[in-house]
Amino acid sequence: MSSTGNGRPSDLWANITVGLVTAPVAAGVAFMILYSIGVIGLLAGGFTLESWVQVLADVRTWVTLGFSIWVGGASLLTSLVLALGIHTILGAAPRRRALHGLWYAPLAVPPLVAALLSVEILGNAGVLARLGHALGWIGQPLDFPSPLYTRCGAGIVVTHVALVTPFLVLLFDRLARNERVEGLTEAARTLGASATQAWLRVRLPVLMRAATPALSVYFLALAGAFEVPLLVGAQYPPMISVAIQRRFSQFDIAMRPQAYALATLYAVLSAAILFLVFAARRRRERLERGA
Amino acid sequence: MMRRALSAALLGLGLLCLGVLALLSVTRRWPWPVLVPTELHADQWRELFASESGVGGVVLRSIGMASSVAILATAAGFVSSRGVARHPRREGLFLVLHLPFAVSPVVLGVSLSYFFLRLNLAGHIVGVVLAQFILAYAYAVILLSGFWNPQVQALSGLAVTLGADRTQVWLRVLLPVARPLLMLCLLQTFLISWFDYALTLFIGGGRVSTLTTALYQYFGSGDVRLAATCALLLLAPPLAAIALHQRLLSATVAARLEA
Amino acid sequence: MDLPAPDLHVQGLDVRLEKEHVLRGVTFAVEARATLAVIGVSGSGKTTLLRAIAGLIPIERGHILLGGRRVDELAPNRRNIVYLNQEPLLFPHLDLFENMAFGLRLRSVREDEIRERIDVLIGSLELHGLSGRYAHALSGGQRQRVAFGRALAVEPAMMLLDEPFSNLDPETRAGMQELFKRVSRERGISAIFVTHDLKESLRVGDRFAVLRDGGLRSFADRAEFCRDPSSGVAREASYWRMLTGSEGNESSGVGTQHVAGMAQAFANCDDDHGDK
Repeated sequence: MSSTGNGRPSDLWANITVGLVTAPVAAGVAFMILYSIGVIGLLAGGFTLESWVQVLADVRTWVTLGFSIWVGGASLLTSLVLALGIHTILGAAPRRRALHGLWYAPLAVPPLVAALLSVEILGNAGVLARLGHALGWIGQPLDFPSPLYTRCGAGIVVTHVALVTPFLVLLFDRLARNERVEGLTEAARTLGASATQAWLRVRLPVLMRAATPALSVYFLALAGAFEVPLLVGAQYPPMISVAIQRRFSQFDIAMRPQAYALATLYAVLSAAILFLVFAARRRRERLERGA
Repeated sequence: MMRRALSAALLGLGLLCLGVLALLSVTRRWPWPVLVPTELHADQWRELFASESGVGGVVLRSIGMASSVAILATAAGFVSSRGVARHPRREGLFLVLHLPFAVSPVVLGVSLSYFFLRLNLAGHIVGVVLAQFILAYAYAVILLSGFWNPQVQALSGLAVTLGADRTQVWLRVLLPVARPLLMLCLLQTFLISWFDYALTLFIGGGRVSTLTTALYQYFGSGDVRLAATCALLLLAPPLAAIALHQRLLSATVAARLEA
Repeated sequence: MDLPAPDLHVQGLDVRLEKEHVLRGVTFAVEARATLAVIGVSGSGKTTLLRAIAGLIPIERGHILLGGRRVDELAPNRRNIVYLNQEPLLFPHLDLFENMAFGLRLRSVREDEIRERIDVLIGSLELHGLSGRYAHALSGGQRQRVAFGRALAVEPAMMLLDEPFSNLDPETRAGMQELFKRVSRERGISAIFVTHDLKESLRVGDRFAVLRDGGLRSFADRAEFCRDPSSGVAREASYWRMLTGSEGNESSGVGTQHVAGMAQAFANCDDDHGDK
């Protein structure tokens, strides 16, 4: 392969790379579509949209999707506000030191462990409940207002926020360096901006502008989360990944096409969101270059 | 002062979490409403690894799988990323590379399970490693594409004019310069596999046991002690790697700021 | 001829960064509508001096008076002193027009007045037709002019320029120096211009100072600055004279435009042009 410039071998290699990643995903989606429309499968009887009609007409589908978007959005927004606040308080890391090592430690916590900790700390018989009992605030485990297993998804949101906020703090720290946010803030201050004005008119828009692609991927990851809703979510409504897993695990093979239809629906929606975000960013960049 | 308070709060939360897991892993009973359990059995860890529970084997298997995924994905990703970084349509390629992360891991697992079954890879470690490799490879290419900037190109060109052949350029220039980023990539791709549950569940079909599936199993069956143990084992390597890597990260960031 | 009353007065300024005493007892004055060129090598404390005056770093001891009023205890946004970084930091989320209008919007100036003032500035800074462009679509020289215009728009009492043209190619740099001189004269701007380039200091400065080892030495006028051995001007002048004067000849190939320009700059040194 060429080691210099833009020779065709380089392009070919890049295409192969992307093919290695997209081929399995594309094949998987194609398989799910064909299965869901009855073209292939153990009980396939030829092309039919029956599974799709059942899934789309089922109110539970839309409740699940809406609930996933709600939990993903609430988790991301809460984490965003917290992370921006923390990043602002921590301020510019001194030139000779990056962000304190402590802030990297949460990267070591997987979603399953976070969910387990939520149960043991925030659960009805968790550490906080026991502390409340010791202080005389509650009598029985059920007296403790645990956010877990609630229909509004509070337990899922709290766990996600604990997981995602440190990531966002690190993200903002890195972006602030790349975008020279401290220098820009100083420029704004000497132009007459108060600390609040500099934050609102410079730091916030510059960081959000740079972080949008990463935030959109985070949103999709949160909306499509599996482990945390599995352990701390209510039975109903389930989040989309749990709903798909439940349908897929059912003994009734006849339900399999519906499982694939639901999975395809979510795959297409999430791919579309990703595409829209990237397209919007490209359009903005093109406008800025061409203006 | 607020900075110190924040760091103290984070440290406190971290210690609480570790403390809870540690206590759970060495106690047989934690009845309500006892705040701190008193029946502690430190020898439970020794029993655990010696027993039939097979936790020792699970740990080794998980380390082996995650290491394989990390090394393969980083090596392949480093080579591939150059082509992607230089491609005239690299923005579109990046979009496509993000797709495996956009669709839920459950969707990925569900969609791939049929193919892995047909290829006799379902229910095998190799199958799970391959499935995790898809995610890790995409991540590695995205991360390492940032390495191929004009400065690196200039360094390569300089080495060539000084007499280096292609192999020497890779071994004496590109790899050493890329080392911090490669270490970061190794860590991140290791964690992709180490933390994975959904792909292991769907492709492994319940026959490939890793720390994550073991944790879920123990939790589901009410054995919180073993679940907490698995949790601590899950945390240990990444915490150690991050402690080591954070120094690397700081050094890299500092070097770039002073340049 | 009476000199105008000093506009900026810095007295006994001490600044410490981390554990290092960067500036010690710095005292000087900048006259109204004049540019003080401050020369210093890397690490001499030039940036620290400007940032301390702008209020971006704390001072340990000393006073800063602007128009007779103490400003060292005021927040940076209340001093009416604008600081221009070495690199032109433009707000990436705003186009050229909005970058230049930034300070005016903070002051709630009327929209039509903003448009009028920015349009005039765009004209005088030769940025026609670029209003809608963003930072990454501008050249280095254009970005520097936008940063300059952004500062001029708020009509500051004092401008602090931290080696603003050091990243530009020689031709663009010379153009920017001329532009700065013209605009600062037209608008009666008071400024401190920090540079490590002697020729640049002679081009833009009305008054001169040298920063060395944390201390600052001012000179009464250009002639004194040129004559004083500590400024380095005499040494540079003789070097360039050697290159283009009696020792040099056409066939040596040394008589380039650049060299001739340098020699001319130093040859003019002894003439106090009295531009201001």
